[in-house]
Amino acid sequence: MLELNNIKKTFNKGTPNEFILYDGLSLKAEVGDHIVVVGSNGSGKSTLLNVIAGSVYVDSGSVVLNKIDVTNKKEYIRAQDIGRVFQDPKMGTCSTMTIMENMSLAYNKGNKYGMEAGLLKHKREMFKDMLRQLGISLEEKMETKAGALSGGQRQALALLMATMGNPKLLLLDEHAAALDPKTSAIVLDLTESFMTKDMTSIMVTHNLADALAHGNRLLMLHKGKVLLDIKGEEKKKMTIEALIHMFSKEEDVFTDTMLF
Amino acid sequence: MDVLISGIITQGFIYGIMSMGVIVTYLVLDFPDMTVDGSFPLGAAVAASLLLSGVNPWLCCIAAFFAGTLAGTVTGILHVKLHIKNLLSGIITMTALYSINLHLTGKPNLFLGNAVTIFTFENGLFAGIPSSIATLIVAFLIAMVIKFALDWFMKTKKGFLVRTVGDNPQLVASLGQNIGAVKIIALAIANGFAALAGAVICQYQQFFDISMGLGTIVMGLVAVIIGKTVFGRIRLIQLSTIAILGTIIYRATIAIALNIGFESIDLKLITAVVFVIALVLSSSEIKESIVRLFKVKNNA
Ligand SMILES: Nc1ncnc2c1ncn2[C@@H]1O[C@H](COP(=O)(O)OP(=O)(O)OP(=O)(O)O)[C@@H](O)[C@H]1O
Ligand SMILES: [Mg+2]
Repeated sequence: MLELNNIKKTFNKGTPNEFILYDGLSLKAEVGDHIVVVGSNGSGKSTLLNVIAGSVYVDSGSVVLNKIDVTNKKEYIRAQDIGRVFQDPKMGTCSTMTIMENMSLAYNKGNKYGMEAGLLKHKREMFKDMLRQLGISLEEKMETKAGALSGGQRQALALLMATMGNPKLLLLDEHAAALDPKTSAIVLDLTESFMTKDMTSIMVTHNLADALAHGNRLLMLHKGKVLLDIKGEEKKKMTIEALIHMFSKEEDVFTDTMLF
Repeated sequence: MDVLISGIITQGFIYGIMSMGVIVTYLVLDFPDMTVDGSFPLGAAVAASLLLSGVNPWLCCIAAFFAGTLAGTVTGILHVKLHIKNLLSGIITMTALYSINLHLTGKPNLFLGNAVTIFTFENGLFAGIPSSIATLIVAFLIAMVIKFALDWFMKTKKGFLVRTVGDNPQLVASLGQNIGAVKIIALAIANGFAALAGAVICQYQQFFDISMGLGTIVMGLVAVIIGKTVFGRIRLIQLSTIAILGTIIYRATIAIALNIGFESIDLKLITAVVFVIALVLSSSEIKESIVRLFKVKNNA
């Protein structure tokens, strides 16, 4: 489904700030893989998602999506099959548009954005039903601008919008990190509901407990390298203690924030 | 109606067409577009030169509109494809347009003389109506056509993208749409409006002057800030309405200043002062969005 082959990426090449992040990173994901990525700050988690989505281009190596080499394809072209939610709730919604307008906009993904009415009035009840499932009363705020919503409300909306077109690949970058525990749980539950057999997802988190509770594959990154890649039963059996024990010899693999 | 008052409102409607473009680039697209100072006289130059060669005045307006969209497209391409900063892209196009406008007209001023314009009412529909009122009605109708076209566009799917790209370009990319293309469309429309306003003003005052574009953008911005400050809080008010009403108030301010003894050479000075006053009096939200726009940044 997704293949990263021997990716090399250096930031600020040729300057004193030159920084080699990936020196031959490879990763394969099959349909139905729901990968949770953990790793300390700067280990290259966000960049991994950026490389896949096309917001960062690699120096060498290839990115293959659904058997198509997209290494040199622009972000908006790859986006057709990709749904994305960022840590910042602002990145996933348009603040000057209402919930109804935002959802109409997202629902049209995959089709042409032409001169037809932007507002999908006939989908209103469907949108409301989708919002109702969140259980945070967003369905009563259809005419509220996204900019006037709280971070958690906005992120829940962003997640709904990102998954509306049934993307083949869902990229989530600490999308529940900025939320309070209750909203974070709601957003993660909703996320879980998209982790189906015919979808693929990559979810970055700083929280080891969340990482163990979600997905069917665990990837641990450190300094741009894959330290650990476990799936299925092996992942199910994994505990925080075992993880910490495994890497007790390495420095800065874990930070305090990852444990709580 | 007093000829002076009808003149103010007429000009308010005409310049209002330009302000509607400005509100699209500045407030919706978040793009400080200086092209307008060149596309406004471009519209006038196109209309004036075509009129004098006997072309139907309405066709002249349409031609001017398309010339303006072309100018906006050039600015958009400079910014999107060549990654030139937004402010600079507009300045480059505006500079080039100065020569192009001169080429179109052949000289720095052009008098339309007795050429038939959209404001020629010898006979027909407006027979018996004072010409100042007939002029007002025509200006009003053009402004309304543009207003409703813009309102409609902003509600289309493409319009939704334009609104999104100014607020959150990442979302546009995430939706699988080309950010650059959306910006170019918005710039084309805005400059089409500016050029149309130029074409209409040129027929209204019956002459073209190469420097008539000077300060157009400042004028548009003042109008937008005034409109936003005075009418911005009205629920569901359209941006286009804000632009037109803001322009009329601005024109009235200028007329009052001239009436209490300022001379026409003071016009730009008055505009500058009104700009500062409007900016100071405007809500912090508008102030921030305008000031932020002119901090040089690159968001190609
Ligand atoms: N555009 C960039 N320019 C320069 N360096 C960059 C850029 N993007 C990322 N980096 C560097 O690459 C490294 C990995 O960054 P990345 O954002 O992928 O880390 P991360 O694992 O997501 O960290 P965090 O947990 O803090 O979000 C960091 O050292 C960062 O400084
Ligand atoms: Mg990160």
